[in-house]
Order: sequence, then C-alpha cells, then structure tokens
Amino acid sequence: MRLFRSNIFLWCLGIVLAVQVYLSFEIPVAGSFGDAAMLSMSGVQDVTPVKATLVSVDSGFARFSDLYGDSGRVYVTDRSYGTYKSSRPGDVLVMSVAYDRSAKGFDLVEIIRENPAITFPMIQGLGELGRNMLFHVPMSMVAFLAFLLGTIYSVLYLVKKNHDYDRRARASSAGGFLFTALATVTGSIWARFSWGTFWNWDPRETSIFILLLIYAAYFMLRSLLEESEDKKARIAAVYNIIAFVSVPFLMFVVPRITNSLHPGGGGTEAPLLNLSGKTHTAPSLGIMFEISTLLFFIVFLWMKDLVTRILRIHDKRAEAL
Amino acid sequence: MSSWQAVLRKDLRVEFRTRYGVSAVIMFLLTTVAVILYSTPGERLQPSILSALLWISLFFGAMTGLSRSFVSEEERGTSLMLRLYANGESVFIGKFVYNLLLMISLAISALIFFEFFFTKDFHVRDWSAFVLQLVLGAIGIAAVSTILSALISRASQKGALLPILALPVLMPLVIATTDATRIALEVPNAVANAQGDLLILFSFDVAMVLVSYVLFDVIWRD
Amino acid sequence: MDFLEHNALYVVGIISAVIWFGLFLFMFGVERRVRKLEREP
Repeated sequence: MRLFRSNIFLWCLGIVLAVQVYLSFEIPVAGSFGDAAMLSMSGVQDVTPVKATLVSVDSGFARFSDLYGDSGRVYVTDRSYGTYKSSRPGDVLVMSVAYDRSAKGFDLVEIIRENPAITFPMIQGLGELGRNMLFHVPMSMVAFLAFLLGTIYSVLYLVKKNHDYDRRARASSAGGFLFTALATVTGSIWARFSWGTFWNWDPRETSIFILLLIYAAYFMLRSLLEESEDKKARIAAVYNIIAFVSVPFLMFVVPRITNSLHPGGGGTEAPLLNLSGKTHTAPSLGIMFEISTLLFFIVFLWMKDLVTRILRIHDKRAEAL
Repeated sequence: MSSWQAVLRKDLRVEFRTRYGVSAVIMFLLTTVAVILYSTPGERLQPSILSALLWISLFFGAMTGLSRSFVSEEERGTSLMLRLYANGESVFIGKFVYNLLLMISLAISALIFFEFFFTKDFHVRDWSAFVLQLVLGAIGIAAVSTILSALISRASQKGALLPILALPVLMPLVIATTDATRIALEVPNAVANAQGDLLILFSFDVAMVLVSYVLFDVIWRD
Repeated sequence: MDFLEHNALYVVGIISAVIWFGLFLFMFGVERRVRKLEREP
C-alpha cells in the first residue's frame, strides 16, 4: 500500500498509537455514589472512585449533586479538608470515597482529578479491569478481519493465479494469528483477575484455542509441502478457504449459545458486538474503543504489507538463484 | 446411470473386495471401546462422558477410514484414469456419497457397540434428535474429509496429515454434536433442547458441502 | 515505592505506551530495511 511508504504517516501512526495506549490507562474510571455504596455493602471493595459535581462545602461536610438517596454526602475528614479549598461549587470531581455504613455517608479518601475532560464508566464487576476492553476486544476484532482478508486473497489467488495474492493471503493469516494470540494473552490476563484463573476452558477459551490450532495447521501444511510453488499455493489457498468456514462458528456462534462466563455467552447480549448492533457502554469508552480498533487495524495492515514485501523479495531471490 | 453413481459403484466394489475401510474402522472402534471398558470397570459413565467418547471414536474412526478415498487412488496409480473418465463434479459427488455411507455405517456400528458394551449407562432418551444429529455430523465429517483427502493426496507426504488438518476445522461440528448427543442421552424431548446445536450443525454442513463442492474442481484439475 | 503505588495508572500507561512505541520502532526499522532491499535490482 502506498500510504505505508510515507515516513510522515508512519511517525504520526506511531505517536497516535502511543498516545492512545497511554490514555487508555490514564483516563480515570469513575462510578457514582450508588456504585460505591453497593460495592462496599457487597464486600467487593471499600474504596471506590466516584465522579460528582460539588455543590457546597460546609464546616462538617461537602454536598454533591449526584446524590444517593438522602445520604449523598461526602464527609470531610480533617486530613483532606484542605483539598476542597481549591474546588469551587460547580466543579466536577473524581475522588475515591469509602462508604460509611453506620453514618450512611461517605468518607473522602483522596481527590483524584478535578474537572476531568473524559472519564470511563464503572462497569459492573470490572472496575479498573474494564480498560482491557480497549485492547482485548479490538485485537480479536482485528484478528477476525485479518482472517477474512486472508480468505478473500486466497479466493483471488485461485481466480487470478497471481502469486502476489498468495503472498498477501499468507501475510494476512499470519497477522490474524498474531492478533488472535494477543487477544488470547490479554483475555487470559483478564480472566485471571475477573474469573480467578488464567485458563479454565471456558467455551470462549476453547474456541480461541481451536482457532489458533486451525491456523497453526495452515502454516504447518504450507511448510510440509514439497511441491512446486504453484501447487503449494493452490493447496494452501484451498485449505485457507475451508478453514475460514469454521472461523465464524468458533468466534461468534459456539460461545454465544453455550453457557459461557464471557459476555455474550448463554444468550446474554454482549456489550460491544451483538446482533442488535448497539454499543451498550458509555460514549467515552465507546469512542476510545473505536479509535483503538482503527489504530490496531492500521497496524495490522502495515504488518501485512511488510510481510508481503519481504515474501516478494524472498521469492524474487529464490527465482534468481 | 449418471457418472457419479459409476464412481460410487466402483468405490463400493473395491471396498467389498478388500474390505479395508470397514475392517480398519471396526478394529479401531473395538480397540477404543475395549480400552474404555478396561479402564472404567464397574463405574457409572455420565452422559457427558459417553457422548464425548462416542464422538472421539467416531471422529478418529472416520479419519482412519475416510482418509483413504483419494490416497488409495494415488497409491494404486488409478487417479489418472479416474481423471480421464470422469469430470470433477461426479468424482466429488461419488466420493462424498461413498464417504457418507462409510461414515453412517461407522456410526451404526459404534451405536451397536455402545448399546452392547455400555448397557447400563447408554440409554438414548430421544431417538429422533439422536439420529438427526448423527446424520448431520456424518454429512459434515464426510464433506470435510472428502475435500481434505483430495487435498493431501496431491501432496508428497500423505501420512498423518489428515487428522491434523481436519481436527481443528471440524471442531465446531464435533463440539455441537457432542453437546447434542449428551442432550439426547439426558432428556426425552431433546430436539427442542438441542435446537442451537442442531442449527449450528445444519448451517455448518450446508456451508462445508457448498465450499468443498466448489473448491474440489480447483484441486482435481491439475 | 509510595510514589509508584500512588500513580500506578500513569506508570502502567507509560510502560504500555513505551512497549507499543518500541513495537512501532521495530516495524519502522524493518520497513526501512525492506525499502533498501526493494531498491536493489
């Protein structure tokens, strides 16, 4: 592709990518006072980040407009009383608070951010782990697109018999394999902190494992064949197309109808990829998710382009010998 | 007589003469059942385990029997003749139907073995669902192994390539059939309960048969 | 230690950004080598 020959474009991509990755961690996750009370009462965590608008600071406590019942007061402790002094009524504060069950109020632990431009929502049961939605989900989406692209190139090869399509198919499938592996690793880390273990053969984990096996078999087939280049390319293209038939089943169908802990399993609606085509998450996270997907996809396209060109040089040298 | 029937008749005649496919598959099944019986004396086997065992033996039985269809043509040196006398379409349909028949006979013998050897535990509660998923599973396995067998017969190393290539591709089908078998062993009205599995099987079969039918010509034409 | 614990989000963010930027630099290096090879006859 032409675009990747431009150094300016590549540097922009690199810098935007780094900024996006940094922001994915830097933007604070904040819920409501209701979240904080619920998490504390259910024993999940005592201290929760909360986002609310400051109404007034009296001698005893501060009032916020995001009220939880009639007990939506943040008690100002001696230690942190001074921190409110810089904030004026009307300021939006992100602060970590602890629920005080006996007083039915909240103790301020610390102020995290004043008037933040953007915050991530507190997702039920995820908290800070929700940030992984900006890595794990885009990676698996890019992986699917890569396999789709690889299959399209395989079909094009069989139709046009141009070896360049074969190289592109190989490069796309390799990129898809890499992104599937990355999605597996990030998913496994997520599972460790959400479900308790790195790997427990949840239907979703089983299907991604089989997906990796399919493409491992594809590359193995390719390396085991000792035929002419034409024949090799034809056999590999046919296998690639057959293999892709089971990819949608593994990625979308089987984990959706079986009982899975993964969102979207067992008939529940997944928050980002679902049949109704809606995104069930706050717009801030949704936009960051879309930017992430786009950036990872461009990175994949660049990788595909690089591998294709390396293969082209390789084949050219083999021909010259 | 259309030409795919000729291919089918030829294959059946070769099979009756050598009985290679059927005997290999039956030996495989017997060995599997014997190993299971030996290692679980007097134990109650749950439907989930029985369905997994049934499909493990069916899958690998299919891999030993069905992989022969094109490799044997290459080994006997008859593939060139076949290519001269029949077009790709009729070869594919003939071989596919032959593989399907072999697969169904394998499924029937596996069913008889399981009914006979696991009398205590193996009770099919819903025969209509059980037969339906068995037939759908057989169609999918036959389609995939026909095209992949043709694929590896063109390669120089044929040996153990088929199970490695076929296992991951067939995995969605094996997962769905295993689940459907478990449901048919557990509850009486299994068709309604295993609806999702049957739907997966049906769509997988349709997609696989169509794709392998279209792609077969590419491999067959040299 | 207290500093790291307090600013964990920034620290993790910077580390991940550096890793991704490193990947970018690696790919950029490959890109330049490929371009050089492509220019060869």
